[in-house]
Amino acid sequence: MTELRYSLAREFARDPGPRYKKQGPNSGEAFRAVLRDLLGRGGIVRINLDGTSGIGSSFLDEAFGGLIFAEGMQASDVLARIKLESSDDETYILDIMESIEKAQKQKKY
Amino acid sequence: MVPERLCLRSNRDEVIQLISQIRDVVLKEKRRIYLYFDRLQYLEPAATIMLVAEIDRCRSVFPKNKFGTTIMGNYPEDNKVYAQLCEMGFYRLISVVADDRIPHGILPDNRPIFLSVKSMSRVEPHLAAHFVRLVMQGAFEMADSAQRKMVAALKEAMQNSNEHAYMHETEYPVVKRRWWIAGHLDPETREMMVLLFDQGIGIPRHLPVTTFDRIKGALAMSWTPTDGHMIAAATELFRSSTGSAGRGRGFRDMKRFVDACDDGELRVLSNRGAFTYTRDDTRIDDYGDSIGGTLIEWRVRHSSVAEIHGD
Repeated sequence: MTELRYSLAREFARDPGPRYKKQGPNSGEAFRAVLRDLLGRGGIVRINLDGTSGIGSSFLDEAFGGLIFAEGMQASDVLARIKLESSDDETYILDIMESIEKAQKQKKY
Repeated sequence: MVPERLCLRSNRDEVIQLISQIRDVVLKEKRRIYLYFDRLQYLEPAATIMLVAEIDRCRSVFPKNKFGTTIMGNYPEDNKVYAQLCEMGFYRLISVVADDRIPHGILPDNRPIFLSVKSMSRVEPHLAAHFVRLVMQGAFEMADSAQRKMVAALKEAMQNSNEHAYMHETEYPVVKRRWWIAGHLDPETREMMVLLFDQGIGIPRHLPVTTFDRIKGALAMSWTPTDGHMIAAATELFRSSTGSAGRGRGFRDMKRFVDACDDGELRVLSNRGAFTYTRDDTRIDDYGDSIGGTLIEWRVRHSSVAEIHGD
């Protein structure tokens, strides 16, 4: 299976922004569109979260949780296809996992 | 008349009364108001950002009526107060031409550095990173992970001021998504403080009621939560994957700095409530009148390199 590597800081923004595009630059919503495109190419997408100035939880929620609640994907597919790396701050990955789980739960009910 | 002490801690009633009066005269009655600063002796940054915001709003919504500019005023007699208003960007933000020269020797050299009030309508992520660099230069050093936590906390606070605050209609006309930020750094005491203010619906009105209802149900509580309780709950909650509610983890990270550093305080005032968090104590207060939005005051003092570990 092919693997695409993507650096949030180098290829998207060193200063990730707010949740929505309408709120300001480098939003989680805009990053979700990037993720969608990357996933559309097939295979595994490995996202490196290091090197940013700091990532807000709303950004992560909208980008990763949004794949489920806004794009209609299944959490199991997202978890199977997206691999996360963060040596800067492990709580980013915990936040993302929590967002994905909660988005999936809300989708069920 | 602007009160002698523009201070929410020691003179809340008069400050709220002044701001309500400005709001009512300009926005409801559409009349002009003249602010007398003669008596002003003491300025608290939190009260000042609220006053600036109210003048900014009134001048944006109703800049003039048929008789002229809706808000006018004189300069304070006290030079120190005048200098502090200049440093906080008071005159610049409300577009008043002022003599910005601060007379030599009026203010002590080792005074705090004020980061002037900025009026914002968007979330600018680089601003959070810039503020943290200033903290590093003017207050205390931070490990890389702590810097990122502080940036993330500020971005979340900006996000909330911009988004949740204006989810529903407010009682008075607002400049949609408008929020204000200010701060100060004190190299002498190695302290930083940041203030964010919005004139939105307030935390108690946008916090998902179901969350509090669940807690109440589980504890068989019959009472209705006050604004103070709702703010306290908001600082503990994280959510949302629907993207429609919740305040992210900004408050959590702010509290972690308060816990980890030598001294600090997170004070959140919203509508009629207030919540104050220090390492040793939390306090909930409720008042008879509303501040007309949400004010976050986050202060941290630290004498060595700040480190924030884990989750």
